[in-house]
Amino acid sequence: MPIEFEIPESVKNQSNLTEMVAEQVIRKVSRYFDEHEHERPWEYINFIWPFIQQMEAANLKRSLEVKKNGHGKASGNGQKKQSTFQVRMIHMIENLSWGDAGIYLCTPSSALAGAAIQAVGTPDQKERFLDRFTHGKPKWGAMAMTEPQAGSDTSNIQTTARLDPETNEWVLNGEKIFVTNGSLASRESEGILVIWATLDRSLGRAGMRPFVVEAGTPGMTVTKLEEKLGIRASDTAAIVFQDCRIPYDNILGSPELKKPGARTEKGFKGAMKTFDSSRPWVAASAMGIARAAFEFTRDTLAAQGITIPVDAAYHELSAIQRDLLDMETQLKAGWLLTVRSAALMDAGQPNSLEASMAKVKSGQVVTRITQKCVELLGPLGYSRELLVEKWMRDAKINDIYEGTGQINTLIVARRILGYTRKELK
Amino acid sequence: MSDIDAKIRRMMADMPAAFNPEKAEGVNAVIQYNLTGEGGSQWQSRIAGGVCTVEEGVAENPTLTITMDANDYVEMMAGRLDGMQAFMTGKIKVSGDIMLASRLMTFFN
Ligand SMILES: Cc1cc2nc3c(=O)[nH]c(=O)nc-3n(C[C@H](O)[C@H](O)[C@H](O)COP(=O)(O)OP(=O)(O)OC[C@H]3O[C@@H](n4cnc5c(N)ncnc54)[C@H](O)[C@@H]3O)c2cc1C
Repeated sequence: MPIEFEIPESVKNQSNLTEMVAEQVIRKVSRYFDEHEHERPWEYINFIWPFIQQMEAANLKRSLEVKKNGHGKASGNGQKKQSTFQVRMIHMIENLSWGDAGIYLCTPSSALAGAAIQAVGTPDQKERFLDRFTHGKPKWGAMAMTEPQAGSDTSNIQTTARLDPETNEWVLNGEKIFVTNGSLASRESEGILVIWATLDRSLGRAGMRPFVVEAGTPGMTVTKLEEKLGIRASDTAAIVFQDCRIPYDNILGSPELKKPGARTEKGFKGAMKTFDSSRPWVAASAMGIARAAFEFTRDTLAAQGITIPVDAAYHELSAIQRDLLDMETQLKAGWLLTVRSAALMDAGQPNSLEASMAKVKSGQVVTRITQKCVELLGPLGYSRELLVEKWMRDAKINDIYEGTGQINTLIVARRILGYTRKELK
Repeated sequence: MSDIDAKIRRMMADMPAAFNPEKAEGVNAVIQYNLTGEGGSQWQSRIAGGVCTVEEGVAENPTLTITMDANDYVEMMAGRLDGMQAFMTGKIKVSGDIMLASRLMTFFN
């Protein structure tokens, strides 16, 4: 079988829209929202929301149908219909992040909360929590895993979920930090948050479950809005849960616990599937920033007469030309890994390894390319009059959230070498 | 003259009367329509001072340029093609003030 590098026509057409939005709506306010960290880009939000509602509606409808008809099968004729959802998503995200990665993160959508509910939610939960993203005012979804004592080491999560048998409610207690869209999802819209908590600390990961908390639930309080190095347009909040009561049906996955040592509980493992889609999304965002910086630098240098003679021998190239060539190669490599991880998911094949690979590679690539651009452009690169220095600041987060570069490298190593989490950490 | 061409001419002629100045308060814009393919043509529409005018041709510095297939345009104006869908699937291409594009339909009855 030949290797197919063509992007389907329908995906290309759809990415025209986000290209236009990135150029004409996002770019021009990029600096403004970098300098006004806690303001919201309403013009973008209101513009994109009708389109997001359509996507959310189609995605919800498809996932409810898939449940009825079996995975990936079109209703009726029983023929497999290949989804293009993830490949469309990464194109959208790459384009929007080319415009501005922080503003892209302000996109009203179910986001990571939606991905978690799609991964393990029941049809009823999907209806209850995701239908709101198909109508009404803009809404946000957020996912809160990280705590002051639990970043990379998620097994150390301290937030507890206790069942109150009298009211049949879960009672959440604990603190979550660095929640992307935490304020937007919990108190600025009728959004939802997926909160990771433990039912039994002694069981480590096997005791952990995600829970859905709806905006405005008493006992959930935003205690801090972060001030950040990059993606300053993005809302990053700390949230405290104090006797926060949610209905029994808001647990994602089975509430039953297994003993330590037994096979990891399916509920937990299932929910970790969220990363199979979220890591390609982060990789795509990284590639959007990298492309913005690369294109700008290439075009600026070209205007000064520095172009890349692609047919020249290596020894004939100047150092700057070599740098540009290397950057372009890295950009393509990162993007191809990202596309592959998304396409595998669309095909219903395992992609955890590829998702981590794409995430590691693109996190490194975007960090390196943006730093190199600042360097090559000299004073222009360092000046706040242009966006190059901003792209350098926006880049780093992609090497941090959804598993740091080191953590994703560990995952890749474990998967390739066949080690367990215990054997290689 | 093709059927599509005739329909487009009629739609363009009807545009000023369908314009609702209350919905477009403060709008001052030149909109260029490039309708391509069979029966296609080019139009420039001016919205200023609560009045909308249309004439055939190419504007010099349009605020907004809308490019789409002539037949798609007819279908959209007839309500058989959803404008949003057309946007999302790349059937409409716009350059210039994209925010204006998203509001444009609301200016007309
Ligand atoms: C802007 C922003 C938004 C975020 N959004 C969210 C969100 O929406 N939801 C959410 O839950 N979290 C979010 N996070 C948190 C993010 O996922 C964590 O910061 C990340 O997982 C790393 O955890 P940590 O910061 O505690 O670093 P630590 O875990 O303390 O790590 C510090 C350093 O040590 C390295 N390290 C740790 N363990 C190992 C190991 N075993 N081997 C090798 N190296 C190791 C790490 O790679 C890192 O370089 C966000 C963070 C930021 C900055």
